[in-house]
Amino acid sequence: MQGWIALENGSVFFGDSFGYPKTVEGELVFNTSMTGYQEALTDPSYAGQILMFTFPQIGNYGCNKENYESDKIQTKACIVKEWCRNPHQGEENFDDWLTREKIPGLEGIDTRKLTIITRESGTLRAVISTDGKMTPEEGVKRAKKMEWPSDSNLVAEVSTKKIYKQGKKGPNVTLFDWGVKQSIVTNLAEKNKVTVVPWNYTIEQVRKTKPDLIFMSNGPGDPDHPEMESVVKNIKALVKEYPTIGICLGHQILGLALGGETYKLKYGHRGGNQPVKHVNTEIVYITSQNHGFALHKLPKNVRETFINLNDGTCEGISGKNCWSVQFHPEAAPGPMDANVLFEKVGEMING
Amino acid sequence: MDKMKILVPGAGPIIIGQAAEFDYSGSQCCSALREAGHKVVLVNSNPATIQTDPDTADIVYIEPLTVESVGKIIEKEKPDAIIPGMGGQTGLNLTVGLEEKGILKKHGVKILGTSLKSIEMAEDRDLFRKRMVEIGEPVAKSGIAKTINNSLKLAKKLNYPVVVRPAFTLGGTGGGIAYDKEELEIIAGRGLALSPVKQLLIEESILGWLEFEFEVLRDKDNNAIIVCSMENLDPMGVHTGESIVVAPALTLPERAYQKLRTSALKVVKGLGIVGGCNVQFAYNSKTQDYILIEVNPRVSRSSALASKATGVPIARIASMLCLGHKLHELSNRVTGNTSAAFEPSIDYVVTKIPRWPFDKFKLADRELGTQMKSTGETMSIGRTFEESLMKAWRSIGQGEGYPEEPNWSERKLKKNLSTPNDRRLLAIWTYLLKDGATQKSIDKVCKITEFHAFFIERIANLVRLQIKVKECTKTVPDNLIIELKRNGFGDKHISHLTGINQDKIRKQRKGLGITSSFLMVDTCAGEFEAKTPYFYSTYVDQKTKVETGKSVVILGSGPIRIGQGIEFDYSTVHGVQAARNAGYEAVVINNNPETVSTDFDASDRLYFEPLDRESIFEILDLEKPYGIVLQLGGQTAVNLATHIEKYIKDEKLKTKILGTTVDNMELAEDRGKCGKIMEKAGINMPEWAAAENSEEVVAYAGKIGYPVLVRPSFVLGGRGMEIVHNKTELLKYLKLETHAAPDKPVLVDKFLEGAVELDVDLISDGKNVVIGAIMEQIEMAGVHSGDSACVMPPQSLDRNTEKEIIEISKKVAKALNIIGAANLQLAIKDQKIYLLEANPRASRTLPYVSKSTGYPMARIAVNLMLGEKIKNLPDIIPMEGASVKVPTFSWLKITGLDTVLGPEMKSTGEAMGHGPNFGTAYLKAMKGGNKKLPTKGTVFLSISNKLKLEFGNIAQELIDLGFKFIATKGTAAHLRKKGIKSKVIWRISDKKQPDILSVMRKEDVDLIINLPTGRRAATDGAQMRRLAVELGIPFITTLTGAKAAIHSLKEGELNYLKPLKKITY
Repeated sequence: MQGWIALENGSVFFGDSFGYPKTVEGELVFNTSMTGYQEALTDPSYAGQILMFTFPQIGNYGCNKENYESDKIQTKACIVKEWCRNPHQGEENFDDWLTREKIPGLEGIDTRKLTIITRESGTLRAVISTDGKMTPEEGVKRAKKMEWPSDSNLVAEVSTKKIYKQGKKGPNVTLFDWGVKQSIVTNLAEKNKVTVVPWNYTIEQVRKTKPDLIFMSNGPGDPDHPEMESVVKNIKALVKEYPTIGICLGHQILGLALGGETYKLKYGHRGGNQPVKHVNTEIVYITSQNHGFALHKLPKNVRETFINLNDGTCEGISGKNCWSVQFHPEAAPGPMDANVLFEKVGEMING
Repeated sequence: MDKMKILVPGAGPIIIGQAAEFDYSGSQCCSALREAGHKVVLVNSNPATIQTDPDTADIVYIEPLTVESVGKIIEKEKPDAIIPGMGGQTGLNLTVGLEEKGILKKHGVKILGTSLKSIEMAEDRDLFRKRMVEIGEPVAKSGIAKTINNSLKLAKKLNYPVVVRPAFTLGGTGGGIAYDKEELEIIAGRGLALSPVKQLLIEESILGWLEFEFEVLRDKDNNAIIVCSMENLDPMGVHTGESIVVAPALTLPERAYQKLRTSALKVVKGLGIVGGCNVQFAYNSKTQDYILIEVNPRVSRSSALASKATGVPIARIASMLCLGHKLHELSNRVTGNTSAAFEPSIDYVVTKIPRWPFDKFKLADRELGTQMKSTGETMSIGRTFEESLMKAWRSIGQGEGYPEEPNWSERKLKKNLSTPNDRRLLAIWTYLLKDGATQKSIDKVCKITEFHAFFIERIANLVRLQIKVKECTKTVPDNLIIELKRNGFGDKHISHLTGINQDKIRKQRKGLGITSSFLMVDTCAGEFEAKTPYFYSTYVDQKTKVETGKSVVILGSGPIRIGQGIEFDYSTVHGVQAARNAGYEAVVINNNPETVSTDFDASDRLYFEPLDRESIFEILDLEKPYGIVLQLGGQTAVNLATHIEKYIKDEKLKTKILGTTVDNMELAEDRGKCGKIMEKAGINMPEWAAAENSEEVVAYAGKIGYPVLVRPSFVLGGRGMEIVHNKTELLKYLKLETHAAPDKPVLVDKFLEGAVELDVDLISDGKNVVIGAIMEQIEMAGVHSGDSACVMPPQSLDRNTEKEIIEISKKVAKALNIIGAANLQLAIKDQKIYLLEANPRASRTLPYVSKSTGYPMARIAVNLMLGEKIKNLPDIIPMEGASVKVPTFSWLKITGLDTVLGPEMKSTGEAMGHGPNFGTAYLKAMKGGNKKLPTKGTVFLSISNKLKLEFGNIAQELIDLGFKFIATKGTAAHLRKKGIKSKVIWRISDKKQPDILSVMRKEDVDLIINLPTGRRAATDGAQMRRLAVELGIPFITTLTGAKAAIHSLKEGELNYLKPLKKITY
């Protein structure tokens, strides 16, 4: 069945529907990774977004439960040039997977054109319809009127509701789940006893987990969201008591807690080929990234540790007893270059 | 950084396994080094390269790439440093040799880039293994053997089949897979003979695993990136140069991809590579296990492919890394504002298909294995695998450009499917087609070929579409046309399947708005704005705007094949330079990833496209160029001339076909019409006839008189051409080679036996003609000019004859209204000069002429095409001293081939030598072409009766030079009559010992002079020549070749050394 995506700028792209028939709205973003479609779609940082892959043939190696980064597909919808019917690998094909996850998909779209539109005008609000229940004209209207996903508190939506533990040995790491990817938990649990706590855990509640270190996860949305203010305040206090590390949204929250500011990037960094340079050593990592906001205007006592080699944006900071990175050392999907950073968790704890 | 003088060795003549990719890498290297302010001294014996242009490097030496010769250059030039990694295996081996001899140390020459220790660790099988075990990376179980017995013992332990890999050879030379003891004895024997360190790796076979490659760049600070992943369609067991390859890897799951990526980086770091490097993996898709196969510690054919596939100028960056720069200090030249420390993301699929020479080598063994047989490759870009594959099929330039229906028996089909061979893709297509592309047939194909099902499924989709369209006869429904075009079906293919005229198909789809979108290759999948003028077409997506200007389109020559090699790329690049200098935007259409012309900064716009009607027309529609140049891309471009002219007329485009008109080009190609014109102009051509059936061939041959030259019309590089001396031979030819038909006549020419053959390259502005050079063939008449050594200026002509030749050449050029370049083949017999052939295009010899004279002939020719008039040029371009060009052959790579020369071209490349006299030039050319010429020792003589008389003096000269002879009975008897002693041995057919084969194996012979007459006549000879190739014993098969060799031994001065002259024109 024919489906379409309508953008707030008025353009409409028609394609073939797959996955679950539905009409949804979201912020259209693109990812340039050539593999790792499952990890990306299940990454909670994509909450509220419509994810488009720039690589034209998606689903080539099928889909497996083991590739989930959270318990479900987190995006609102998915756009591809073409999905693979007979992958001969994996438990199910891409279409079946999206259908089972109740996520609509659109194929046959000129993804390159749509990428260039996004690059040129910045990310756009969009409506996708694959169930024939809306006309494209209505779609454009709705895209213009809809709230930006980051206007709502996406973190609250994707965070765990109850605390849980993982890892059997080592020091205690308390991990704020603001939309955490499973790989972060797994990486930490290799050498630590990890307690994953909900997004709005209070200072008192955190203290009770007896952390040796606090770890702040990745997550969706705007770090400067009004409902995140209390979180930032808590971190401001906690960072004085415990060694603290952050990734992605965690990095942005740390930056805010230390007195920096965040801003929205024109179209974000989403892919597995973002080069960052460690300022001190000049070591270059090719990293996995997925973020639409970035840090700047850092106070003097905060050091910029990593910068993006493509656009010079801040990719890491360090302050007293704390540090964070904008990129994803856990990869999944993406290159493992920066995985060494997990070794620094132990160093932080041992001082 | 201090400004340095840097020596860059090239790769020498083109041979199978080492082709144009090293011209690309060397040229990029020179340009990078010079931009950084360094002075470059380039050495290469291959004149047909852009890197040996006086504009590419500061000082250019066309000299042999031997330790001896480069040592002299070092002594003279005193370079500060050498970059070994740009000249392929030749460059590495040379540097190792220079180091071992202490030459680098003595002159304080630093090695830039990967250290020799690292190179050794990567290339020495044993050291490599040890290092991999040390860093914890998996390698196949294997052992090192230094003797055949060792090999057999190892194989017993590892279980058959085993893979044999000789150390330090290129393109897998001498390697193979042995299924039993007998095979191993043969392969190991050959491998030991070829490995310069007499070392073999005997390895467990991982047949059926998939093969992946990663192209890596690393700087001295240990920062490294993956430029591109590549997936071989053919499973393990087929050399990656022989496999169909896609980029990026399409079937690797994320985790497996990252596992291999991490391993590749670890390996490159573990070996200490600085610059470019290629890492090959075997991967088991069922267990997700992998094994490291090998590492190329330098830029390679795969780097060229990865470079063109992604847009990343790998060789340029690698050069900067060799200078000590760091990846993050360099910028991505494609986007202009992002970092070079960046892994490209692409949003299309690239397919590479090798080009094999089996259309020329009909008797050769077509089975593929661990050793390369292909001479070149084509690459195509599409938005999907389907589109990409079909475009590659159109680009390969062999056959019609689509899967034709082969006339195979069931058995042959099965065989072509089950054994790796050049027609396996066609076999897959055919098998699926026969079975209606059912799931059962798909499963069967997967099982037999061990290709990943992903690809077979997609090929099956294409086959289903073919079945669907085949049912259409009069019209194709619009929606089907759309589907076909989106899946990459060419107009010509659709036309073939439906019987509907190609023009009609094109009009229908254009009416539907289905025309090419030209998308940019930008390294980043659209994430950043890029300014690269590098495009590919697709029918899948919407159009994006391409900025065009007043342009000249230059057609390239496609994949390298025998008869159409790197020479044409050289001319293409010069055409670009000329068009640019004249103020036009130069646009290149080509599809060979190895070449300089397909570098995105070589032209103003590059279209990486098939060289067929469809693509060219689409580009003409977009570009609306001022002009199009058809003379530089070899026969490929010439063959398209009439179609292009018609299209321009039909579509009322204003584009001019630059230079010689299409009518005149056709005239030159048409033997009949050309003959008439020449007769009118008073120029002799050998008597000839065109026969439309076999009876006519025999009748005409009788009338013209034997010997005759027979060949099918409209062929390249003398394909299917043969000299026959009598009716029996002719009948045999007609049975084996060609069936004459009214639309494909066989040409019968009087063969001028014993004539002196000449090549003339000329340029003309339509009024005035300038002769670039007259070249004299050194081999006897009947040997294809591409296979003959040739000397300029001619050595055996007197002044009057030379004058006469100039006059005749001018007449021919005027009769054909040549504007631009042309090449003539002439012969002199009994003081009479004949025109054999006139080619209205840039020739194979044009770069050689340019290098010998210093005049950029191709560039001048394009200036003339653009309207410039000849001024300040003499009748014939002057030159100092003498130059010799010798062909190089890749005998070793192609088994089952006789090595004797004839009218059908067999050489893959060429080397040049220059000197104050013929002997010096010849000697240098021989050395440059890796041909050994002993100065003393034992010569085996085997001369056919016909030539015995003429040989007498040569034997005496050899005796005078201090050689000793062995010979078979007949030749010995003849020598005895002349008073020359020789040791007599048995003929092979006598089946008694010692025969020549055993003498050769015992290394008791240093040179073989074997002068046979006729083809396939002497199987004795064929066996001997084959063994000579395998054992590396130099051999000469023509009388004139023997004379030239003796000449050079007498007067050759190896100490003569002069850099290339540059004429500012």
